[in-house]
Order: sequence, then structure tokens, then C-alpha cells
Amino acid sequence: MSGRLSGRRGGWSLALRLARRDAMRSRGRSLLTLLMIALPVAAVSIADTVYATADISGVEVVERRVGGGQAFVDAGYGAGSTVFQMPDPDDGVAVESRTRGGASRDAMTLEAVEEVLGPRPAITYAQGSVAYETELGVGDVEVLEADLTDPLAAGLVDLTDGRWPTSTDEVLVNADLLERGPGEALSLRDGTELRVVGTAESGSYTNYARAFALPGTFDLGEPSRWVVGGEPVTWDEVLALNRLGATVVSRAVLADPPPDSELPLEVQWGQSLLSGPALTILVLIVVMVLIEVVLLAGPAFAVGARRQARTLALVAAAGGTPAQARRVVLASGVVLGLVAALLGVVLGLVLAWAVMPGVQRFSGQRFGPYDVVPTHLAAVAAFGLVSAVLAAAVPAWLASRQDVVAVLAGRRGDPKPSRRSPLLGLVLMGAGIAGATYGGAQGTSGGGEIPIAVSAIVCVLAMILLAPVVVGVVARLARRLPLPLRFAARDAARHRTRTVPAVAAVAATVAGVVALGIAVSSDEAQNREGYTATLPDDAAAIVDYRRRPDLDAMARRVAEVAPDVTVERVLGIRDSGRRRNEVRVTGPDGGRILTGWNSTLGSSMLVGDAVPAAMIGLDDDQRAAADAVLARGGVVAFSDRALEAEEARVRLIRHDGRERRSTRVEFPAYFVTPEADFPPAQGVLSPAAAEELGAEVVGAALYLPGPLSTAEATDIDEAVSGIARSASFYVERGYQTDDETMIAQLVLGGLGAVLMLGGTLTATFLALSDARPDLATLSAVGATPRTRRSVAAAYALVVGFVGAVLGALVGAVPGIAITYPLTGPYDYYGAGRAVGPSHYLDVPWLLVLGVVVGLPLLTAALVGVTARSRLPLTARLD
Amino acid sequence: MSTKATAPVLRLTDVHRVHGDGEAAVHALRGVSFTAYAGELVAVMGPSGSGKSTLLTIAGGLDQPTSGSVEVEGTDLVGLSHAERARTRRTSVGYVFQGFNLVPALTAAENVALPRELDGVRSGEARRDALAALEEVGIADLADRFPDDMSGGQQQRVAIARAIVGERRLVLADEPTGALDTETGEEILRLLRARCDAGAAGVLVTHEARHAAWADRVVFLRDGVVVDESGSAPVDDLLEAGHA
Repeated sequence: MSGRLSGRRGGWSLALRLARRDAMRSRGRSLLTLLMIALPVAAVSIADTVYATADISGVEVVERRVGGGQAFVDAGYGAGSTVFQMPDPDDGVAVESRTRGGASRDAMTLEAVEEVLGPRPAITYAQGSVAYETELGVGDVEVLEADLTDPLAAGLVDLTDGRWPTSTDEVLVNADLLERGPGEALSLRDGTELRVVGTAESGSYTNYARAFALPGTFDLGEPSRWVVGGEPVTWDEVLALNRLGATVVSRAVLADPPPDSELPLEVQWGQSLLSGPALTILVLIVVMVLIEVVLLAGPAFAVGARRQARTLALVAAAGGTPAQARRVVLASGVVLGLVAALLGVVLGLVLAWAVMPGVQRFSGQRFGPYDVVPTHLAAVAAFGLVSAVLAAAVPAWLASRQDVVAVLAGRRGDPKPSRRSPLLGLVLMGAGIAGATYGGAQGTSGGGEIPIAVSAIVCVLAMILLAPVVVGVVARLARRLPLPLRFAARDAARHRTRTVPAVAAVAATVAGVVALGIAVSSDEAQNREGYTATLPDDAAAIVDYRRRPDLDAMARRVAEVAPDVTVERVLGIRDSGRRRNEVRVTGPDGGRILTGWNSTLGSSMLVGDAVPAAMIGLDDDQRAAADAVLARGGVVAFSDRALEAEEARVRLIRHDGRERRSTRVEFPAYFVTPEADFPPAQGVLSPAAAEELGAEVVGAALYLPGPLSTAEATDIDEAVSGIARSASFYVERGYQTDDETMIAQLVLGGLGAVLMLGGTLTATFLALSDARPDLATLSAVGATPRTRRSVAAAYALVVGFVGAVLGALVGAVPGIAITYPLTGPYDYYGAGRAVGPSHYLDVPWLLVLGVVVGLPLLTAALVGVTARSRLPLTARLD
Repeated sequence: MSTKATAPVLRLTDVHRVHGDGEAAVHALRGVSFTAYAGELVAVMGPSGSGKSTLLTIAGGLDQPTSGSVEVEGTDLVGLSHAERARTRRTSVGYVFQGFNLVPALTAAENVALPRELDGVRSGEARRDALAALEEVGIADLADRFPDDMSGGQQQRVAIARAIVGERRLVLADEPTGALDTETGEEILRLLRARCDAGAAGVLVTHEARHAAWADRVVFLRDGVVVDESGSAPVDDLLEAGHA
């Protein structure tokens, strides 16, 4: 009977009952809220479950790694080293090499293993990559050699068709390899023909062409990996083998790993992976997502609280305290949050199971059995619950402050807007901008990202506090607008509790999209700017890096596979091999003129009576001038600085084994300053100059002026690598936007659109159901159904547009700041020589425009089309 | 027709209530004083905007007077905190409004039990009290129905049951029959009358003379001032005096 008691038991059970019944009574709104919270929970649950399923470290499906044996011993590091491993070497290995001064790294033997483990059954396990003949040239196949029929090998390879190989001229192939058509036999590069006796798949991997055979089938060298059977292998034995240079995957150790304290210090860094910056970033992401979810669910709770206004007033009249009224609204957060969290996790588990085969296709590693981490899911569910309660917190607080008398009298009892919160908003915004500036000022030296990310969140919070003011200003500006917009703007301002979270949700989304968009496209701008073409567009070059290059054979092969392609020969001095020439070009003063160059055309100094077409970096005038000098028997040289001189000293050093002879001649010269950081060669010698120097001129590269089609390029590539694996074929396709960048932008745009549509649509339909009495009045005085549609569309437009503009402004702050650490000058060589401009800023205007103007219009159109144009007449109160 | 008044349950002394300030100030009540005793039903009458409802919200502590004192069972509500006034409403005062009296998400019994539960009483005990109150207003059989499934008259009975549940001795009714047909309205008033005869004090705001006939006394308000108050004069005479 005491008032104090009412603060506890009575309040909550009553509040929860009210919330439960209320949720059941307004099913539409409850469902909306459930989805807003359940969907993110489901998304994270899916991600976590897929990750856990894909992750097969530890004792899970250990048979794929140790077969039917007790352990897999890998001595690939060599006997000269000591290794340190985590209980599962896949989680971390450190190697300390003891061999110094050319001491041989003897391969470890099975005997050495047995000295530690005692005699026990073992099979060798060897893997490698082998070249095989395809129709056009050569392909690679990953091969595994083991005694596949031995019980110790059980689980390593799954036989899908045919039989196991019984001799070293038989092989099993996987489906990937079969598609490339070995048919009955697999022909290796060395001429060996292996009979295909069946198909099989690796237990661990799903990608690449693979073949499986008995030991000795391929030439894979001395075995250094074994699957051992017998007694379980203990952690102490693992450590002993580590000292011999072998890592061990032991069934027994994985099942019962040693405590962290027993791990070698060398690998303990792996334990602290999730600390410092990574953890900070994770926390920031969680906070950001939490804000977004809270904002998305906020309007539903605001409308819910408004619908409960009468109930809350009655509770107050019956003697309920403000705290009890608050609890009633909060309880709806608890009820809906609990249900949404459970629903989200269940949904996530089901969907994860459903999408797993699709995800597997993108991964080369075979997933383990469906795997769920209960602690993670509990955390995700708790996140859902917390976000619902937080979303209900502000409506609850406002509801407890409502004017009871006004509500009882049938008026709406909105509390007056706070004057303090916009001020706090301004202060926070200032702090956010200051933080972003501070972070940006850190430059590439590191550490700037976290202040910027924190400032992004601070700016979003500030924006939430400032949004009511902006909405109010928009309503005031709406005086001259047509009726639907005016109505929508005023209504939005009058019902700030539901408008502000909707506007803020849109704004937070847009802020994220704009910030990341600026970051991604600025990064992209830097990459594009930093890209140096090595050949004219769509042209190609073939360079044979073998000791005895054979460009003629290459040219013939190209003519066979691509008869329409022109092939030109680029000449250059021979500058590789035992007998080679070295050219040094110096200015008239004898100083070095060029710090570095690429030998993309096979030679450091090209030879020709004109500048080869393959050489880029000269404009038409320069090319004409250069050609003139070459015609006079001179030399064209790239120089770091502009040089006005007309002569160059060229020194040729002929190496022949240890001998070297040097010649120096002065030639008429033309100096070019390259646009790119590094020119494709030092320059071009005229044939006459080369002769005078006594340089050996050879075919350096084949040049295919093209333009080459993708199909031609693929064929030539395969043909060229068929002749020599160390030959390179390069097609210049200009700067290619990274697939990942493209995908990142698409995902950004898509995610932004979905969140924005979701936020705007919910807010709009909630507003419309809330504004029903007003709309009824509107139609009672003769408004057409079209007016109602227009009002609906206008509401969406106001929420979407105000949110988008606010968001774009708020997102620009961290977006611009992050470009400083992101696109600052790199120090490529660690020698203090930073290359490129200090900073790139590229605002993706199309994305911004699309998000700020396009999406709100699209949403408004959607709402206009889908809104019901007729509505039942309603009383002023439900 | 009435039990003689004994102890004052509600006493308003020189109550003023001003909404807003400056030029926009509206004087809803200007120095209203009156007393309601246990066992007495007082009707407050007056034209629209005369301050009747304001009087009632102030009497129940939902609103605070700008000046003056409001005593409920000897306690001055003016000096109390928000929470203490809420407590007074839970334990001493019951409201009945014109309509929409009930929380739609709660059953009849739960609606009646609401003040008890808010007071921290165990829900089983609160339900027993609620059933007793429903019994008194004659609809114990409807205890587990939701308001949406009840007629207007039934809903008002539930509201009255809620107003009297527990030991509460002051029932404030604001046009409790406004949304009902004549016959049902009369029944509700009979119920209210019976409650007062059983020892509660009732204040009934109404603008219908025939409802005022159920009252022991009529307080007539106009423009926030008590125009007349009569303990014994026939109601009809009073009404004429008020309109004169």
C-alpha cells in the first residue's frame, strides 16, 4: 500500500501487461517496430553464423586436416629453424631461423619425427602446383600426393566417382579440372601422361583445378609433411617437434588446448588481436548501428506513446506517478525489443542456413558443419533489446511530462520543446568539427582515424539535437508553399517526437553514405592520379624473361592464335645475362639525370631510329623533336629535371662475367622530363649511337599496338605462357576501378537507399495514421482524394529532404576529415621521399545529389502512389 | 433524501486559477470556496467555460491552483509534491469522466484494479478489491471483458467502480452521463448517489438541471465565480436564481 512499493513491483508488471496488450491491439505498428529491430539483429546473426560455419579452425572437422590419423606434421620450414605455434597452427605460427651463413637447410625426415613421437604408422602428404597442357597452352593444377587408400588418409579427399589410383600413372581429378578438359588423360608439361581413373574433391577446398595421386606421381621433391597415427600427440610432443622446425595439427591438442599461459611468447600476439584500435573501431561501429536502429524504431514508439496518451492520462488520474507513466512506454520497448530480438535471431539462424550454399560458392575453403555461437547471438539479441528500450526512452520521457488535464480534455498535450537541447547540439557540433579537424591534422602519420570516427558520432548526436529546430524553421518557411507541403511541414513540426527520429534516421544514413562516399571516391581519385600507364591504351607488350629469350617463337605463336593482331619488335640493348651491357646517361656536367626507371619493354635502353610507339610519356612535339635527334644519330634521355642541354654523355659498360669494359661517347641529345614517376626506360639510342658505343642490340620485347579485344588478350596470354612460364604479357587497359571500390560504392548507395526508404516510409505512414483526424477534417471540407495523396507524398518529401540535407552536411565533416589520413602522400620507399600531392578530395556529387534530391523524390513518389486515398471517417479520439 | 453531512472530505478555499500570463491570461477560477462533506453529493453547475472542469481537476490534484488552498481529507494538496499528489489520487480521490474513461488494453477488473496496482498492492489482492467494487456497481459478471466489448453504460459503471475501489472517499465526476442515453444516465447517477449515501463525498459537474436534482447541494459557477450555493433551497429555485 505504500508509495515506495509502487516504484517497483506494481509499476513494472502493470506496465508490461499494458505494453503487451497494446502491442497486440496495434498490430501494424508493432510489426513495423519488430521489423526495424529484428532485421538488423537477423543480419548480424546471419553474418556471425556464416562466419562461425566457415571457420573450421580447432577441433571442428579435424579429419579434413589429419585424416584418420592423430596429427598432421608439416616440416616445410626446414630442419634449420625453430617454429612456435598456437595450439592450432592456422591461428598463428612464428618462425625463428637458426641457419646462418649459408648452412644448408636440410629437409626434415620422418625418422626425426619418429625420434620424438616414437615409431608409429605414418603416410607422406605432399602438395604442390604442376603445369599441364591445355588446348591452347598451359594451365596450373594443384596436386596432392598421399597414399589415399590408407586409413590414415580417410577424410582428406572425397572420392566422388571412379576408383582410387593404384599406381603412379593414375590420377583423380576434381570437377574444376575436368571442366578444362583433360578427358581420359592428364598431360603434364614434361610429357607424362596420367590416366584419369575418377573424380574426387578436396576435403578442405572447393576452388582451383585439383588432382590427387599416389606418392611419386608428380615430382614434388622430398616429402616434408606426414599424417601420423598411433597414440594421441600431446602438447609437449608438439613443442618438441616445433623445436625441430615442424608445425603440428594434433587431434588431441585441438580437442583439449593448453592454457594460454603455456603458449610460446612468440605467438601470443595472436591473442591480443582484438585490442586497441580494432576494438575501438568495433565499438564505434556498434554505437553507430545502435544509433541508426534506435532512430529507425523511434518514430513507431513516438506514435505509440501518442496513442497511449489517453491511457497515460488515465493512469495519472488514477494516481500514477510520472515514473509509472514512463514505465508504461518503456515497457513497450522491452516487450517489442524482446520479441524482436528473439525473432531476429531465429530469422537469422534460418536465413543463414538458407544462404550457406550460396556463400560457399564464393569461398575456396570448404565450410564446416552449420555452427552457431550462442554467446555471440545472445549479445546480438541483447543489442536488439537495448536498441528498442533506447528508442522508447525519449517518447517515454516526453509522455511522462505530458499535460494530463489537456489530454483528458481531448486536446493534445505536447510538452514545449526544450530550449537547452539545441544549444547542447551546437556545442556538440562544434566539438565534432573540432575532433574531425584534429583527426585530419594528424595526416598519414596514423591515429587520426579514431578521433574522426568519434567525431562522426558526436556530429550525428548533435544533429539529432538540432533537428527539431531545423524542422521548426522548415515549417515557418513553408508559408508560401502549396497546401500539401505546407500541411506536411507544419504537421511535421507540430509532432516533433515522431518527426525528429525519422528525420534523424534519414540524416544519419545519409551522413554515413556521404562520409564513406567522400572517403572512397577520394581514395579512388588518389589511385587514379597515381596510376601510370606503361603502354598506349589497349596495346600490349610481350617480354621474354628467359635466359635465352626467343621472341621469334613468341611472334609465331601470337600469329597463330590471333592472326589479325599486328606484332612489332622493340629493340634494346642486351642488359641481362652473363654478357650484358649497362648504359649510364649523364648530362653535360656529368651528373646523374634520372633516379629510376621501369624496364617494361624488356630493356633499360631502347634502340630505334624513332621513338618506339610503345614508349609513352612524350607529347607530339616532344616526339617529333626526339625523332629528329635520333635521325641525326643522337640519343633521347629521360631526366628528372628539365634540361636545356643539347648533348649527353653516354657511358656503356660491357660486362662479361667478371670483366668489364667501358666506353664513353658524347651524342646530340634530347631530354624529356617524364610525366610519370618512372619512365619505361632510360631513353632511346639511335642505331648509329648504339653501334658507336659497341652495344649489343637485341629484340627486347614484342609490341602489339592493338587495340586488343579481351578475347584476343586471353588467347595470347595463354599462348605466351604456353611457351615460357617466365614470359610476361601485359595489356594496357588504363586505370581500372577496383572491383572492390565499385562494389563498395554500390553497396553504399544500395544500403543508403534501403535505410532511407525504410526510415522515410515508416515515418510517413505513422504520421498519416496519426494525422487521420486532421485528414478527415480536410476531406470533410471538400479535399479530393488527390489532396490526401499529395499530403502523404509531401510528408515523405519533407522528412526525406530535410533529413538528407542535414545528413549530407553532417556527413561532410568526417568525410572531408578522413581524406587527410586516407589520401595523404605515401612514402613509397621509406626514404622520406613522399610522392604526389598532399591530399585528394573528391566529392561524389552524383551520389550526393542522388541521395539528397533523388531518393527523397523517389520516396515521395512511392508514397504518393501507395497511400490510400480514401479513409474511414474517424472520431477525434480512438 | 440525504444523509446529513458530517466531516469535510474536500474543502476549497479562495481558489484562483489563471491560465497563461500578461494579456493572454485567462481567469478560469476567481476565488472559489466550497466544501463537500462525507455522505454528500454536490453538483457543480454552470455554462460552458465557467470553470467547472478546472474546479474538478484542481480538486483531484491533477492541476494546481494559482492561489488558494485545496484540502482533501484534511491534507492541503497545494503544498504537496507531484508524487505525493499522485499518491492522494491513488488512495483518496476517484475520477469519472464523460467518456473514454477506461484503458482499452485492460479488462474491466484490471481497469478497476489500476489505482490499487499503481499503489503497489499485489495483483491478486488488487483484483479482489476490484471484484468487490464491480459487485457494488452490479457488473461483477463483466470483470474480464475489455472496454471495447462493453456498452457505454457498462463502461461508466466500471469507471465508477474504479473511482470507489479501496478506501477512497472522494468521487469527482465530470459530466459522467454526457455520452449516455437518458435512462442509462439516470442509473449511473443513482449509483453515484448510493455511493455517497454509503459515506463518500461526491462532486458532480453537470450542466443538466435534472441531474442536479440528485445532489444534496448545488454550487453554481459563472465566469469562475461561485454565483450561488445552496444547501437546502430547492434546486429549481436555485437554477432560476442563477439565471436571473
